Amino acid sequence: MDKQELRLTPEEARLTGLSREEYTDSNFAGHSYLHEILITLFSNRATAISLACIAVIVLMAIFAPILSPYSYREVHSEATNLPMRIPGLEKLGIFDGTRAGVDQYERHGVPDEYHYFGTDNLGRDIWTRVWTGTRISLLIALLAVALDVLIGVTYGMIAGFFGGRADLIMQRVIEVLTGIPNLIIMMLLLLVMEPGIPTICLALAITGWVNMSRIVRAQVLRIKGSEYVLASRTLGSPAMRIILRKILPNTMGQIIITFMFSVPNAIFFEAFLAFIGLGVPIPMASLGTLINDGYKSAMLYPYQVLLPAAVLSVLMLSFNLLGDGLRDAIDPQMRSM
Amino acid sequence: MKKYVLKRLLMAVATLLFVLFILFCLMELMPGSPFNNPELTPEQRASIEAKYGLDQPFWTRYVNYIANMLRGDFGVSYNIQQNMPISDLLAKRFPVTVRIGLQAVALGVTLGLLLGVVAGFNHRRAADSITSAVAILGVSLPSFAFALLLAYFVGFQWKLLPFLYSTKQPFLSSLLPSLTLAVSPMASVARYTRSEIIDVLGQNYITLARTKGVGRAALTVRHVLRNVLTGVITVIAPSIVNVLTGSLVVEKAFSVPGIGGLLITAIQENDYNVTFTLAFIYCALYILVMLTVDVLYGLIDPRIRVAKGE
Amino acid sequence: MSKWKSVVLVAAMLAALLLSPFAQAEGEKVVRLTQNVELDTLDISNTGDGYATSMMALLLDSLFRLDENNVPQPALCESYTVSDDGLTYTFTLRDSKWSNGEPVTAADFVYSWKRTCNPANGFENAFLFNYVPIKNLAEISAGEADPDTLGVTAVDDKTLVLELTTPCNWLLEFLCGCYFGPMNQEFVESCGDQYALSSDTLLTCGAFKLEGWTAGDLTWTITKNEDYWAADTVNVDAIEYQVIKDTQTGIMAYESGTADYVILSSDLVDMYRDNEAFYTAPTTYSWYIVPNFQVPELQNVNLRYAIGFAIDREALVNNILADGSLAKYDCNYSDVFFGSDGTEFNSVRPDFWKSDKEAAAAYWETAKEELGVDSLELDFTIEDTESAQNVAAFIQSEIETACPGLTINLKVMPKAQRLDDMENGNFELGLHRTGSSVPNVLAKLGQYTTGHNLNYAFCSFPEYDELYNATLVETDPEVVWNNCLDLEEMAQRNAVAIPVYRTADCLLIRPSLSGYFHHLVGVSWDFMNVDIAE
Repeated sequence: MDKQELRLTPEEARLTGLSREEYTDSNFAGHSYLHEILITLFSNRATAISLACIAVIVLMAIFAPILSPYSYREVHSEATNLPMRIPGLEKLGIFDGTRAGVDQYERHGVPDEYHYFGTDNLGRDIWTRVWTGTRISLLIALLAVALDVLIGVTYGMIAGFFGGRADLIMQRVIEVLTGIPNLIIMMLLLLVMEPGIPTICLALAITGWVNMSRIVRAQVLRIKGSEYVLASRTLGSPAMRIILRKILPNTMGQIIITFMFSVPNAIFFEAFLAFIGLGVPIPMASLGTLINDGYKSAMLYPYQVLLPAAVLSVLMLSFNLLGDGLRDAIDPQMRSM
Repeated sequence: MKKYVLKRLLMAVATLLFVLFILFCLMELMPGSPFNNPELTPEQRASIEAKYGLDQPFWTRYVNYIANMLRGDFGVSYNIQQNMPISDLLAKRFPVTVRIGLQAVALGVTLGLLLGVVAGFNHRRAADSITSAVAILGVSLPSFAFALLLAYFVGFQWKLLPFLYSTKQPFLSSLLPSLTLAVSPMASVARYTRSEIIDVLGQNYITLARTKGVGRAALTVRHVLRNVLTGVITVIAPSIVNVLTGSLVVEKAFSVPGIGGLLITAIQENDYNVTFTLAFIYCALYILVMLTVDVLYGLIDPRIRVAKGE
Repeated sequence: MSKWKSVVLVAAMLAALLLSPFAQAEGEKVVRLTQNVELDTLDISNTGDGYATSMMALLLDSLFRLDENNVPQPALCESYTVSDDGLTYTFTLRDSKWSNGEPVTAADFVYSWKRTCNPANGFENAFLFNYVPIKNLAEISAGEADPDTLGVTAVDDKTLVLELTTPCNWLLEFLCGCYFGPMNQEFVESCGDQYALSSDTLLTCGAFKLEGWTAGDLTWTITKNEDYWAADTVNVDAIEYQVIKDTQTGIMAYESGTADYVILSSDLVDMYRDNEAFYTAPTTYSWYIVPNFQVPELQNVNLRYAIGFAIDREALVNNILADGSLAKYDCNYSDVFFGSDGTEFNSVRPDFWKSDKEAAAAYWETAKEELGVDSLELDFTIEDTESAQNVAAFIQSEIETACPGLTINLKVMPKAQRLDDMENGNFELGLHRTGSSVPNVLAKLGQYTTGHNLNYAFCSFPEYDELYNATLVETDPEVVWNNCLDLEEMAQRNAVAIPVYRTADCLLIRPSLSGYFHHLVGVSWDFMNVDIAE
């Protein structure tokens, strides 16, 4: 604080005559809600890094299997359990395909092959399998969560908006459904139906939509009482129009946040299912099944379990941090996740 | 309050009956039989099934099962431990799983609170990012990865704790399984605590307390933690359930004689009675936990109590 | 100062607490075995588990015991005589006691056998009796005769008489299994349904005693029975068992000295291949691809040949499994059947199946022409176990690369469901495992006859059936032997089952252990005379 005294003479105090517009804060006025969110989002370093990680992983998942000369399912029994070999880095003495000093690639008769992540116990290239697996894990997670959102949002909207008896009944139904542990539902579904991607997505979605519907319903109840909605109703707008025009856009924020948090949950549950033997059927791979397979020889060949586990962890970490960041940006008041 | 609890209990009973019904239906749909020695002729298999009353119609079996259950008779196992009454089968195993589960939750909550407090008070500084990352890693890595890591390093290489469950050292050998299971609740509690503390620290009454000269420690305990603890209870509830399901993996890895892996084996082997009883127990536990949490929450936070009239 | 003292005290107490259970009673010889499943029951009428039978052999004596050269040695039976026509055996029992002090009598054997084979009891091991031609057994199994008429009688407390319908030269080997052991009628009936579910509801008369066990326990101990008639050949004081389901935990247990015998999975074989403790023993369990003849395309023999020739079995067992498994090219069991002159059946059997990708491609072309298709998709039903999935992935890859256009879809399901599907013909190709509880080559060949309940291929070859039925009533062993060779050749040529490989047990056994041995049939592991060097 400046301790200098301010002395103004009557002459210095004049009307400046500046108009209102010029005093308006230029930073705030011109930007839309979306722009604001994005700015807050990217100013958070953790969130920016997470987004970058996710982008990189998604790109790898899309392109790496296509560009790789190896198939994810062809068995090469002569090249089993080869260590990692990366051209360029091998000149530095690491990742040069040797184990205990012996060049394994020479020993198995494939000196000209380069497997970035090594090979598994059936001689399949792990690099290709990891990225194919990421593809499938992401696909499953996104599909499952999309179903989640669809069912949950519809359910929550109806319950929240129409209220009354419909709401009561729907809430009771949810109470009954949540009384059943997810694991049991999933296991029984997967054993009764044929195991495969659609079944896993269905199992994940059936157990996940409840959370979404709760949040949507809470949000709808909040917005329902606000004045602009009241105004629309007084003016005679049909229910559908109110829902779509007024309520849904304001719930979008919550939906996106819940979406972001549901994805890692789905990925994780899929890995868990794979561990108990209910994952994607072979020879397809998902991160879960890869970790499960690699785990069995983890003491001997740790890279087989560490590599898919690393990708899984980075994915989950990134989605969680992104969700955190989104939540800070969109609704700083909402904390009860 | 009493009316509320009663209502919830009634809902619980209805839910359990419904669950059993769904299970019965699903087990009907599942192919295979509990007796699957391939050398048995179809006639021999049919006679074995008749001996256990599996040839009776659906509704008869359902009603019989419920009736028996009310009497405390959960039937016998068909092929996991043939002819063993399920109550005996579970009697020895259930306490082990529960004990490891409770230890896991206790460990998880304590460690989680610690981590969360450190992170919350050091918001936007290095300590926050690091502890947050540790917490999230705890949620991201599958529990069997932790199981193997802990068993290999802590148990095998450094020989600090036994990595196989043994009835001769029940407490010590239950520590590694509990630690593995504790990672997940620890992570959720830590994250929740962190965000709550950040929230609370920004509130006016905290600033007031600081200006009044209240020390950091007293501040933490008296003002911050009390507000946070109430919310932690809601986070614990799903954690308890996760611990129940996570125990599957952990029990396999550490050879713990609990009920964890039993459910999956039972479903895959078509051992109907074991499946129904275990599913029933899981559901009942789950509902009980949720109910307790809701009641506790209502007791602690007066605002919720008022809103409950809804 | 006092603060440090208390710290030291606490540390000392903790140390004592931590270390004390590791101390063992001085001078006690204990062998520690592990297995990867719990025991579900020790009722010999019902238990089918290899581990259970191995342990029962230690707890329950039988008439004979197979020694390390697979020769039956007298156990509870001190001596025996056979009638000239080979139809009547008279066994004289030695003195032996049950764990509750009562003597073991011939009546105990009679009760046990009648109990197991009685169809009304619904015991799983009843089928084993089908392989021994005991008088009236066939009628009893069909429910047409009273179980009491079974051709076995207790003439007095120490004499057991067995009557057969046809001579049976594998009878004594068969009687070595604990399935044919004695049971104390009074005790068993007093336990009712709870018999053999815990050590309190079980009577033993063998080399070891069991205490403090309940079905489903993960750890238990058996202790030496000092009253055993051959107690001087038992070298250890106790054997401890621990169930470890995770192979890597098992390896850690071995390395840290808490287990002497652990199972090694093929994934981890590379760690121990050159280690002294590495032990691999082939089993009789063999995996086949079973084609369902009800699927029209699979009736084309060239298609079946294409599938069978495409698989490089040597690569599978050497590179992928690498645990001692053996490639299999026949439709029968190996190392089990011996001719009268001692020749092993599979050393002279015809050789049809080979691993030959070019031949496979040629057969596939022919099949395509004959079926009038350019490509084909087949479902391959398999179990959800790790080894089955690995093998299936390998087979799928081999077939698809050797026969372009032929696509294999894997259908994975729990074992119970797979067996169910295969029994009901609800599959196209199935990966099936058979083991040999059957001591007779003809009985195994019989599984390929029309309508046999183990004929999962649902195949029907009249010529085969004819020869088989003729051989059943043939008495000249030479003719039987040659007919069996012919049947085997027909089975291979008709591709009724496509052999893949024969499994091996892969274990780590502490080198300081000795005196144990492994059998291919019957009791797989015999630890009665095990010894541990200091």
